[in-house]
Amino acid sequence: MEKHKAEEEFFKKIIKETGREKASPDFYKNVMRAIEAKQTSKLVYKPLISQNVWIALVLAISLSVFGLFLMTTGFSMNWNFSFMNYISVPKINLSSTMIYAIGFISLFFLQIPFLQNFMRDQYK
Amino acid sequence: MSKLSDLILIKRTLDGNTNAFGILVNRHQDYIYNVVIKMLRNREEAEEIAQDTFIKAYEVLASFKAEAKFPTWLFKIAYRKSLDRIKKNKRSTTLELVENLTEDASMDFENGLAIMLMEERKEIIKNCIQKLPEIEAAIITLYYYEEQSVKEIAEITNLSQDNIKVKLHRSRKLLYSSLENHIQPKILSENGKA
Repeated sequence: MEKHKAEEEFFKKIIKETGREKASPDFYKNVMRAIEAKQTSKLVYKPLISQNVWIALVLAISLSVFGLFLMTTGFSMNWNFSFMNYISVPKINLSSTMIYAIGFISLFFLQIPFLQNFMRDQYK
Repeated sequence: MSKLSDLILIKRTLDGNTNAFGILVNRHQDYIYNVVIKMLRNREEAEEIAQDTFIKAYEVLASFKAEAKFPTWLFKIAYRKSLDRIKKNKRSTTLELVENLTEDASMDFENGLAIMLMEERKEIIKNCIQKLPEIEAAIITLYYYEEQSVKEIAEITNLSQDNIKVKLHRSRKLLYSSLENHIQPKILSENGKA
């Protein structure tokens, strides 16, 4: 036991005597540079227009289109629920410019999810 | 200014303070590098792996448990990274073991070391550690330089405590036999002078 302890102490002494190997002077700088680079690449893509704003925007536009539709079909503000008995599809009279405008807006909205995915992939 | 504890610095790092992590790097870089270079025996590779250790530690810092010791946690990452690199390089060291050490031989050995000049002695011991197999070199470094307990080394290396004790014993013998080859001629020449 004594011998083992003495042997331990002896090895401890001679090994410690050699001293620690030291990292290069640039070590700290290199690590921090790599970490900062990781920090920047870790930045999450944040959309300019948030999801809530988009929902509000879609609602507002849908309501305006619907309002426009009601106006063009001569809908009156006299609420008469008897129309429920004979529901028929009203004839929509829209000018061709209006139809193109609605078509383009719809296409624009269709593109948004694809664009969002594309942008997200770019920032990953 | 009092020295901030590792735990406080970890918390600050997790709150987004990169400078706090910088202090941790400064504080532990030499310990980590010392273990890695003993395993890899190549300055460039050791530097790269030691740097990767800190980068990895930064990435997974949130998984660090407060009850653990930060250096032990870092050593664990460094040890695994070094082993991966050794496997990648597909090289390992083996050394012949002298099984029987007599008391007389031990005395001669210690006297032989005492005869040598300090610098010469340091160089020889360093070379002998370098000749140890990688895992044994890591265990010796962690135990003698970094004063990690057998329990902590077992945690770092994922080996049982008994296995660590066996490896430590084996490493001492390996070191002994390696050192003996250097010392024997010294003893003989000193005896010749007398």
